[in-house]
Amino acid sequence: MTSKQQDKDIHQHDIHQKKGFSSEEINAMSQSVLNEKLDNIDVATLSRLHQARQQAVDAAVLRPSFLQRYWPDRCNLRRSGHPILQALALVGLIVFALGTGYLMSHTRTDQLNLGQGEYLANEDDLEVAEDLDFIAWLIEQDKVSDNHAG
Amino acid sequence: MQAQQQRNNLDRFLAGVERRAFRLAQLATGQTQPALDIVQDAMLTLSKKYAHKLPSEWGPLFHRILQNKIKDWYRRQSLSQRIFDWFGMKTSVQGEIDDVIQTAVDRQTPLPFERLKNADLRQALNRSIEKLPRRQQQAFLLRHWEGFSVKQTASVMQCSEGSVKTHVSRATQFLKQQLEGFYHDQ
Repeated sequence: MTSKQQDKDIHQHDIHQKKGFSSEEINAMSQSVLNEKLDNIDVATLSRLHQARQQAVDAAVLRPSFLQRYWPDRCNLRRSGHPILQALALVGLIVFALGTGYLMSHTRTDQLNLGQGEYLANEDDLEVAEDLDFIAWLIEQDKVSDNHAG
Repeated sequence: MQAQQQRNNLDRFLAGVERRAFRLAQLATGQTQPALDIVQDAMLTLSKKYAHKLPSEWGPLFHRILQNKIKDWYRRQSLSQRIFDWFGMKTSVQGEIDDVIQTAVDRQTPLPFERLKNADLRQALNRSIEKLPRRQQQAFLLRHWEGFSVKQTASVMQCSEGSVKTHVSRATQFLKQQLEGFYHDQ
């Protein structure tokens, strides 16, 4: 028996020892079958595909919209690394922080003013404030009478 | 001038993928008319939303759009199926897919590519691919027909790379099982 014949026999033996097609064989056969089907697409279908392609090319929007241009990757600033957006976001944060600080300081002053107003608006306290001179005079009179008595 | 060049590029790209896209959609839906509609929708979406992107990005984007359109079609089918079921009607959406696989064997052809001369094996393989569960079919075709990497396939299918490997492995196992008879009867 020649070596060529032996090789052929071994090859045949290997084929029969295997349980079935290998993954590579399956992939290769699938590709072949699928590609073959591409060539057998009927003319009507090809015509429809051609029309669809023409429509798509005619409808093509070749410039990105404003939002797509300046708001890429669904607003993911970290991933996109878009410098304009990052700068805008930073400026926005600063304005927000300053605005909030300004508003808070004004609110505190108003609250203080309101506290004083409330204090003065108290009726009893107003009466006391008006009669301060009289009370001082009474105290002085008491001291004078005490001296005379002493 | 530049716009015309871009249109020409888009036209060339779509011409290159339209047949494969149609076959992918046809395999997924099992029908011709919906497959054509899906491809048309996918082409329009690409041209309206992503034509300004680089031509090298069109491939994965187009397949992602295509797979989403197929998913939408399945959702609509599932809804209409439920409505028909509710009214006690029968629909035959997957008419061709439900056919029985023919398993007659040619005993004269021992090697895989020679075996492919056998029309029955070709037909059985084609029908087995049609019968694959949708996600397995997607993964298998994108990997082994479109030639996408695992990463690209995962991006198109919007799932993890591990899922892609699992789907492809299961699909290959299924096809092996379906074609086992052809191998042993040599």
